[in-house]
Amino acid sequence: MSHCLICYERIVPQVTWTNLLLPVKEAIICSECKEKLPILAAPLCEGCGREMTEEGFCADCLKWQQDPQWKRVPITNHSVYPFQPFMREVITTWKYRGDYQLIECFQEELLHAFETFFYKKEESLTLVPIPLSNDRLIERAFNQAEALALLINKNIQVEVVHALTRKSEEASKQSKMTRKKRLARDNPFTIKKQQSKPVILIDDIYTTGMTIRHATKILLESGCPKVTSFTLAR
Amino acid sequence: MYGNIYWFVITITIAIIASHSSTIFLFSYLLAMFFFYKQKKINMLFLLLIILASTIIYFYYEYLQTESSREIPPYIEEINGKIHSEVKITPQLINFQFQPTEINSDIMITYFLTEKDNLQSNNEIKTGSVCVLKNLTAQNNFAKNPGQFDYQRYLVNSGIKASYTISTLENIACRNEGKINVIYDFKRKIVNYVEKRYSTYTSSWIRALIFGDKEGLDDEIIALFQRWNLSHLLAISGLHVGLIILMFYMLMLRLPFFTKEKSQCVLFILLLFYPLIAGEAPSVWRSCLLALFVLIQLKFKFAFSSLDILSIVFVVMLLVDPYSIYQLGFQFSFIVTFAIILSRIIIHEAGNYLQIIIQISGISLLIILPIQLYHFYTFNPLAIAINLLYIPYFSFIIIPLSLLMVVFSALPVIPQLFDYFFVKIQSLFSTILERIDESLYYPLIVGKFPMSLFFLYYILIIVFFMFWERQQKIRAFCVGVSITVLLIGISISPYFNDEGTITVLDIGQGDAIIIELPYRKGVIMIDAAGTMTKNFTEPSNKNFEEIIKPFLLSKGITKIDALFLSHDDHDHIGSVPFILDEFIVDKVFTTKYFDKAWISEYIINNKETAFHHLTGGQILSIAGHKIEVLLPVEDNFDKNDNSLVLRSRFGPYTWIFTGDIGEKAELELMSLYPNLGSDILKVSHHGSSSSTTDEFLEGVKPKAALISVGVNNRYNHPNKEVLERLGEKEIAVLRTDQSGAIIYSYTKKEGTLFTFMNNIQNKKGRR
Repeated sequence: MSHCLICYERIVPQVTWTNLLLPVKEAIICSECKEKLPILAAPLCEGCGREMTEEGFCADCLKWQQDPQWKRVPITNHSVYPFQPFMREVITTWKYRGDYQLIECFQEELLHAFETFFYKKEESLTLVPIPLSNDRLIERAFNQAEALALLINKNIQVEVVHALTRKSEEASKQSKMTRKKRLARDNPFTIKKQQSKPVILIDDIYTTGMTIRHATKILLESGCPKVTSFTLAR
Repeated sequence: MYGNIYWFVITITIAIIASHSSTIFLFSYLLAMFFFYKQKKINMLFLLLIILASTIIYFYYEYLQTESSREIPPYIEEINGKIHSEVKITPQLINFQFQPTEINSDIMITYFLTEKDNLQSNNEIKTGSVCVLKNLTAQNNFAKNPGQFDYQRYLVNSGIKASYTISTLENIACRNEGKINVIYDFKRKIVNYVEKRYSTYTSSWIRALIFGDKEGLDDEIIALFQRWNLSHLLAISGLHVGLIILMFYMLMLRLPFFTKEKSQCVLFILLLFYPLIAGEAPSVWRSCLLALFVLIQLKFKFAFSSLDILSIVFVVMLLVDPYSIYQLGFQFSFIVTFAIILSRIIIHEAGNYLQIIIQISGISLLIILPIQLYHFYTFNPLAIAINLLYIPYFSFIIIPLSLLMVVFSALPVIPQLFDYFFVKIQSLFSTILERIDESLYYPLIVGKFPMSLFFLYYILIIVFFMFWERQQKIRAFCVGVSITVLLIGISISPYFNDEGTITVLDIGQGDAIIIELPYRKGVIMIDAAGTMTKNFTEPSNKNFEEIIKPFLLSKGITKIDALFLSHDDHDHIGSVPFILDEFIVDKVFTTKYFDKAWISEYIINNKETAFHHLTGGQILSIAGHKIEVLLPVEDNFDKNDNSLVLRSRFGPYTWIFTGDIGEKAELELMSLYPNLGSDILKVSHHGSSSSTTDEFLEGVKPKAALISVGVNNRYNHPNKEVLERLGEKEIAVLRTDQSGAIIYSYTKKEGTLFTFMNNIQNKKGRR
């Protein structure tokens, strides 16, 4: 008998015609919690991957493309889940309260989305998780971006490279900063290993896109030919 | 293991199917399971459990089959044992299952009551009583014709080895022991009381709907409900049990001192005993046990899915009675319930109540279709519409009302009011159904569903529901089309078959011969014997309903191109009115000596049928098949001697059909037709001494002689001398009384004679 990873309720497996002739896989989360975690549905913005009413770029991305400082850093981001209140709760438990195992409840959708977005598009895939600063790593005990990258690596043939490091002089935590502050900030990343092949940045949440933009910028400047990104939620 | 318990249902079912057909099923299934194990879909423990369960079930059912195929003694002088079931007492008979001390399977005992019998002196005949029975005669209940209901197999499938009758009540000596009869006595008391308080009409419905005893209902009503797929309303099932639980629960919660917990306890006990009161049909047990497990689940907070619980009930019921899986009621009940549970998502998509009922009826019809066609050969597509009307009518009015009538039967006045209302509304709805039946009954006659296609059908139906569930409508539609093609294929397969058949039905004392031409170019029938009611006062439709009709339907026949009637005796034409009524008959051929009164009676309701007289010398072509008419040429002043005599070639062999002619007509035949030689002779007049003379046999020189005759008939047909004459000439004799229907199957080059019973016996123990 299994329990839901999120709400701890007992999971009663549901057999219908579709899975009648296959033995039931033990579900990780219950159907109610699963329903509360919808995935992003097309059409999605070609830049930041948000849900749209029609195809193309969203107003925000168009604004970025006009920005003189950032127009040379085009981003192509794909995300799995919309970052809504329930998702925020789950991610908080996972990320800040150290419930490492919760990652399993994203596994199926994460891998599925990764395959639809990237599989066979490029010949060899290199994943670069967004690093944490040392202080933060000690505080959280694991890097959630790295955990996601390793999860993909475990199931799909991809390479994980720690190409970036993060400066630790930032006093306040990033997610507590206001948009304006964050946008004005200097690039917190430095290159650890130069990349000559296209890379996919991996992170947990895409909020304003500033983190991804900084990382993309520094990678492109160091000679990487192409940078895309993949985040769990946005 | 949770959620996967239904795999044991699949495992058990496959093991049982394998024990009846071929171990290949079991091997390929276990191979698939091993594959799942390798793919890490299931764990080692689960795999081992499945292998263990399937092996045990396989060998156990093999053993049950060898047990049930063992010969039964035709006569038992004395036997000790115990009454093992409810004792059914009707004004005509007493009937119960008996468990002999030395044999481990039950026998069925029937005693036909006579007017002198006084049951009061003998009321120790009760469930659980220990009895000594004397002078038991075995009843032969084997099906003797293709398509006929096999009562013997039905008994064996119910775990009853044989059926015996007892001649006098003195031969039953019982001593009451045990307590189980208390519950049946209780039931009898309530039923008797209900019968006293309500009209016969109302109480017969109450008995059927609450106590599972359909004895009181009109046979015509039961048949009507069956034709419109409404039998599930008459069989006590989930619907009834659910309503009963609901009403009792609500009633109890309104009473003082009854807490929720206490009410649940009372329900628990009620559910345990209700099946015993309600006739113990598989559907009652299934629904009561299901409800019991749900109650237990509520109490102990298990997390079984409804599929799990149903699977547990399935296993428990088989553990208690391994034979139950053979019962049609068990199969229908479980298959439909499983299908509805699995269709949760499909049904969830349906918006309103009407759509839900349409979908549930549709799913039920599709899922039982092969079984329905295997046993009944037809299905009625309009039945879904009628179910829309009758399911709510029974659920909201008739069943609750019946229950209320039982509960309030002791009150004054109220029962009379209930009764008045019930009779009014129920007879109204019955009349509506009869009217619909008269004008809108268009069944699709598919014929017997071949066993070999069951697997394919169920794979298709699962795929169909799968696509439907995923809302892949185009794919679902394509699979739906292939299911339809499969069904059409079954119904038109005779049109592609180069084999023709002639079946001499075992219809008791009488003739009924059905010829199916190759490629189903035509169906020809020669004579259609009828029977009389028990006291020989009026004609009965028994032969038609039990033998002729099931035979024709099982072959998917709806139309008869030509019906030849040799002469107007009841044992040759008694079933003709029923055939004309229910089948399309193009032409009826008689002689000019045939009673005109009969013809004018036949014509009344059959304007489209053509009636012709035949005389010797004519050559007919029926659907391109040539038939010679040999006799009658002139009046022989005798009914039998004026019989129609026909000759025709079927494949390599020539048949001669002689009706009931006697010596005089035989001599006439020989003088008129010097080349009378025929390979197969339908012996005249059931083998009576008045015909089949030495000279006639010399003239015809048959290789085989077929005698259509009843078992132990009162005319002592076939005559000993006739048999001797046939024996001397080394002519092979086949008799319907000994071997059931005689079947001749032929192609252009070959023709083979065989009998239904021998054919069945070769396959004994196989299903």
